[in-house]
Amino acid sequence: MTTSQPVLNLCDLYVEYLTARGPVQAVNGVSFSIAPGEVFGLAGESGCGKSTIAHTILRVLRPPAIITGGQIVVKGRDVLQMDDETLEAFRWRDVSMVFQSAMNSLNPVMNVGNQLADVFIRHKRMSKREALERASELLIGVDIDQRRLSSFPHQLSGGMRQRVVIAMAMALEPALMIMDEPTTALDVVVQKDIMQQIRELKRKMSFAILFITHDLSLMTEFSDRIGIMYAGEIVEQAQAREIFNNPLHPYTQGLLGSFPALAGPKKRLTGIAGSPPDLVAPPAGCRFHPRCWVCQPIEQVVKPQLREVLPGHWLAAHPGMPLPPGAA
Amino acid sequence: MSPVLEVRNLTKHFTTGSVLKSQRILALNGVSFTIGRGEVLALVGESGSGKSTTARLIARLMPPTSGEILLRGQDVLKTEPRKASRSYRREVQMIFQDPFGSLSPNHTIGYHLERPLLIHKRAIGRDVQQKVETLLATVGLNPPAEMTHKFPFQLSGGQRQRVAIARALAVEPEIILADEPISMLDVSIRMGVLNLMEQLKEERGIGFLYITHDLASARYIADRTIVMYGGYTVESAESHELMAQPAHPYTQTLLAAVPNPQAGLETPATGAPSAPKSASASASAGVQFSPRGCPFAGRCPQVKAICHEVMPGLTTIAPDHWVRCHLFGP
Repeated sequence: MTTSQPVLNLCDLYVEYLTARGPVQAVNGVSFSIAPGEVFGLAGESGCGKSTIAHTILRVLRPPAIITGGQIVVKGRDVLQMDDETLEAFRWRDVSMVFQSAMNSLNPVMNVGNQLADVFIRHKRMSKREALERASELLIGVDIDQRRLSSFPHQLSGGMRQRVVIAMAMALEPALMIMDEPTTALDVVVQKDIMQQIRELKRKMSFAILFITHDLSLMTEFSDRIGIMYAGEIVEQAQAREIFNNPLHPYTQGLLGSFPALAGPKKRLTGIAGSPPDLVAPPAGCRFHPRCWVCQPIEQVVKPQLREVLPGHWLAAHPGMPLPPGAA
Repeated sequence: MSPVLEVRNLTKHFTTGSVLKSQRILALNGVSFTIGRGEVLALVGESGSGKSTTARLIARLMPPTSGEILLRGQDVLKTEPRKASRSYRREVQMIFQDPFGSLSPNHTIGYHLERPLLIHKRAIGRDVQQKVETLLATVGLNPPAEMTHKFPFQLSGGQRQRVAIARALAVEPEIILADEPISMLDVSIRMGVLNLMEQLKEERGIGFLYITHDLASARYIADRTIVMYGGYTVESAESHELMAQPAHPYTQTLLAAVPNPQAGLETPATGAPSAPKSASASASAGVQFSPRGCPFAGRCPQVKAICHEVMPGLTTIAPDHWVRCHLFGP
């Protein structure tokens, strides 16, 4: 396989929300890239900026959000410079998105077939008949009986609605699909089904995925690489297994330590004390330092940079931070 | 020691639809269990399994279709049939899933905690303020004097949930019904709230009914776990035992479906049964419209002919471990 350019290259992105209290620094210098066919997981809790990033890539941010710096390149094209017309062609063709709780945002008064067909009519100027044929193929692709074309969203289960939404996102065979909490609000059995479905589709169609969720177990099982976000910044980034087996950042360790096990001896877990910072006035230096148990004085003043401390393993830390042997 | 709370054959049927075409939803069928002093019992199941309905019935937010609710041996549906007494409401408290929704946005935290104290006459005059601050300290909301004056919107989800716990604690209940208390909280905050519940159970002997769809947290905090499906209890055991030796095919399905970080992208799916692929799969898991047979029969990988016809009874397969399945007994 030849090394091709990344599907997505996000470089030093800054996004703020202008509020009455002042600008909320929601995304503070985030960089990462996704290779073709790769699953990149963005993990973090509420308010860390992951959904904001997703919306920015698709250029669907609403005021009071503004992009204040950085670059987003998808398949070699600069997304932040695109005009409206170019964006129209870009959205859904090159990048599509499964939004959070998307299954609840299907049009309740239109049947599923028409909603799927809409994508083709709108973006590919197909005839209604042709579009419905393609819609039917899409449904089969996500394992839904094509008789359901005439069903309304409320007649489908949550899992089926989510699959319809995924089908919609796949319709134009984009190179990158962004999935923002695609299985929250679904039961764990349906969740497993959906994830298996996505795996199958990815195998067949080789799209890359930006997978956003707070569920680290799910993310680790499903992603190739993972970036851990906290308060608008990436604090650690590595292969999924590496993050799980060798978490270096205290926040990552705390996060992993918040999931009780299904097997093994009873262990007391503590989670992480405190709460995420106010992003209007975030802590100076490392944004995690007020909650951190290995904080050094320098962390309180100077923001740590992401450094590659082990091959493929990036960590936002100052040189003095205690690291396992072999790390830079 | 006799249990604090006991429910026997609790059943709840809802009728929906129009006059011409009414349908019965058998939300809960013949549920029985006990909760002892300082015991945490988890009810685990998917949405539609009946677990929240169970909590609401025990909280007496609606009357059951049939069955008994006994508090310290007394059948409260007989002694106070029309409305729960104030005394019952004091002894059986509830905390809800949505930490924002269960607090009034117009009132301070102090107000939320004063009210139950005053209504149930647990304190008067200057004592009230003192008690409020003690409660806040107990649930880890410091400094209490400041917290009293805050409004819910000024608190994080985890803090709001602690207020809800403090409110329940205010009247010194025997039983707390916790309906998915952590599922809307950020991951790193959840353990703190669960640990608080455990601490209250140890220090004050409060019994908890912990309702969740998350097996791992049930195993963490609950002494015993009951698995529910389609309005029926299908398996019950000590929590660690249940996760280690699941007997019912549905319990096995649930356990196999929990994400396994050790498995990678390339690992083929484990052989656990999943939701049926045909489009005729019913909307929510097993909410039945007809009472024939086992509710899981349609999805069970080990289904037999009899499963579609006859509801299995309870079979004890090990000390304190029973299962409702034809694989083990009639």
